[in-house]
Amino acid sequence: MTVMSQGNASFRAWITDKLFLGMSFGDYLKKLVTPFNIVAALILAVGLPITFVRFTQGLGATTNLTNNYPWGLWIGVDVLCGVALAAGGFTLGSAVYLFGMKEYHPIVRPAILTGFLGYFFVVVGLCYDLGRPWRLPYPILVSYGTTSVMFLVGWHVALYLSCQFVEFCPAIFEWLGWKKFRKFVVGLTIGATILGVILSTLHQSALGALFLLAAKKLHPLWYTPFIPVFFLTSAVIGGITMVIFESMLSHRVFSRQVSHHDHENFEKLTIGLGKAAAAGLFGYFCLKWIGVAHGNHWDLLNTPMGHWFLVEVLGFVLAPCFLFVWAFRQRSAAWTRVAAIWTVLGIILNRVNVSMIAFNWNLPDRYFPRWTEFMVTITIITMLVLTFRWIVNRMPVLWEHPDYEPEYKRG
Amino acid sequence: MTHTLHDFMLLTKGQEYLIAVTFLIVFTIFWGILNKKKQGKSARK
Repeated sequence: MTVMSQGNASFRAWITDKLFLGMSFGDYLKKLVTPFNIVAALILAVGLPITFVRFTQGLGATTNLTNNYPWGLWIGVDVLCGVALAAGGFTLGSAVYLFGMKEYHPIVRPAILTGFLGYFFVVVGLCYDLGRPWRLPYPILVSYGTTSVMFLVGWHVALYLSCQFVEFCPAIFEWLGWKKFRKFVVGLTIGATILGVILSTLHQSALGALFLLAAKKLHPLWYTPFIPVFFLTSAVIGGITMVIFESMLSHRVFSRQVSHHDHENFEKLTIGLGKAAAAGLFGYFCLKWIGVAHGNHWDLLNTPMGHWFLVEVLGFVLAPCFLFVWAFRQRSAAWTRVAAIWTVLGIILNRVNVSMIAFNWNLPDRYFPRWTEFMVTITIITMLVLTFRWIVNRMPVLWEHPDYEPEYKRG
Repeated sequence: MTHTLHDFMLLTKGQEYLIAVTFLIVFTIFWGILNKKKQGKSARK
């Protein structure tokens, strides 16, 4: 009995320490009542019943999708933007683990976590669009569609999620105190990173390749045979800028956890990422014009859609590129962050343009999402933020676990 | 104005190569500007 009660006590202490941040359950619940959590709860209170309606009554009850517009906000924003902005995991992972840029090691874990959660909630968003989530494993296990781009995307997202999980596992095992498991997964990190880069290269471009099937539906300024290359290039830029944005938020919200990090070092890393983003944006800007030249669509630039294209390319690619250059030359982390947010908005604009605004651009009836679609997207983002916060509050993501500090220093 | 596929390909490929070569030249200038060290002022945060 004594041994059992001791076991129960230690299990309770473990739960209190790991899940309730060392507080009693009552104290933990009281601490949850914050303005942010109240807003999040309100969003979920609206979003979850819509989810129920979506999965019981179908797309017609919750969306404005039609046969002309089978893909709407959930694909355009939740999937296309989500995947592009989650590219920070493979970008930073390959920079640190493959190219030996060890100075970026302090931000690689948050980047991998953002990437992992980004992809996970992309799958959640995809389930809203597809319905019948229990059939998600079908392309993996039951029915192969080897001639479909969707088949490639399905497999890749599943494999890449696994890779990112392996890359993030050391943090989970450090949190749980499972040293042997940690040692094992640390040994897999380089392999998982290499596989992750290969998979990302293919599925980021494959998402663009989906639109190769809609050559006549997409406006000629956005449609080009190079669209897979555009999607990959912009995803790399989106990943880098999202890491800047996410680390800015993390360092403010979780400032207690990162206080031991050298603040100046963090500023330097932000500026360094800004330099990479500037070079990437400049290359992407030139690629966009090659796309216009390939179809000889210069005349379309002086049309309403052409003006919108110029807004995207000049206002959300070239302008933030110049701001990154200026910020780098001034060594200004604050302006680098402004440019990063600007670029993130530009990537979102590009994906919305490709999937909605420039898609079926010449049809008289245009698609505009129903409020329930917006609400589901906001619900998914809220769930992502809550999950991110839950993990960061518990696991060594922004801080180094004292047991492994010598290892971190060795890189 | 292009009349044949050959004309069209010649025109568009010509433009693409011109943009690509221009990009390579401009990128070296861009990289130089990006990495140019500031003189006389201390680096700001």
